Amino acid sequence: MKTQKGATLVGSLVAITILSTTLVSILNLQESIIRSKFFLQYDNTANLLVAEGLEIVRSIYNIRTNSNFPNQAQEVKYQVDYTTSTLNNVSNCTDTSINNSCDMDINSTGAYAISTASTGNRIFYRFITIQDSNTIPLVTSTVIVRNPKDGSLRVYKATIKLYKID
Amino acid sequence: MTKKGFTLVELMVVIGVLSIIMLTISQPVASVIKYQRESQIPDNMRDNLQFVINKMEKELKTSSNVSINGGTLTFEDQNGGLVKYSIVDNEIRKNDNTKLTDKTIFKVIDLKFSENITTNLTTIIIKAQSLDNKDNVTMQFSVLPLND
Repeated sequence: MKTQKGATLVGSLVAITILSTTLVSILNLQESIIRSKFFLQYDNTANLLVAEGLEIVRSIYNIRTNSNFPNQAQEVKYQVDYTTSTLNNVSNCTDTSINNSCDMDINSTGAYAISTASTGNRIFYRFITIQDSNTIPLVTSTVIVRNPKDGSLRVYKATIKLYKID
Repeated sequence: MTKKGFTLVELMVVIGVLSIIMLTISQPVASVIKYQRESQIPDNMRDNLQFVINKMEKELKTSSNVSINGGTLTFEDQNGGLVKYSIVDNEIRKNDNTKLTDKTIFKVIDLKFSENITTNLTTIIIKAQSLDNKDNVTMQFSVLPLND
């Protein structure tokens, strides 16, 4: 008489556990990828704000006077928005650390502009760095998107050189 | 010949364990499906608005005689042709008849233009809303014409 051996209960349970652990891991991974869509939903706006930062500096540079455009070799950080024709100094804003001095908010006209509130949980932060402004200014526009839920950051950057066209 | 299989108890244990696993897995699966369905319309909305802004930017760069009247922007393109952008019936239109957005997909609820008279910087602000009013998008760009 021949006995055919099947899977034991323990064997089956171990197989199911391994299978389910794998499945749950894959699903969690997929979910975390989708969660990163938080940043994707702001991708377009962030890229536009980066480019806008450069346009604003270019517009100020075109009408520059001794007082409204820097004249120094070292890198300096500024905050600008579409309403201003001047560069406002900011400090302590870096790619990895941001604060209220460089945050942006939707103003009364519905536009993204320099935030006037002292505190807040903003999504967009922008600062401009200008280097070699005494020769050919190297302008870098940085926009940082912050996820208010976990504080994670995503950085968007663009750089141009402002050649004199006098 | 005796064939050994699972007992009823063993089968029920396995089915019970499988059910618990399926229930656990169904939560993330449902949230993934829900998120994908919900994010599709805002993605289309953002891509469409990005296209509109890029189009306006390209034309404004080489424009002249820019004139702004609230939600209407008019200028002369590089060939001297008159171009008008405005919001009509929750859609952005070029020269009144060319639709750049479609209100059956999403609504444009505001279109604003402004000009900084000191720097000649023209700013475009578009606000749009999904048809179920759940998603709002604000897009903004400032353009400095090349001849300035």
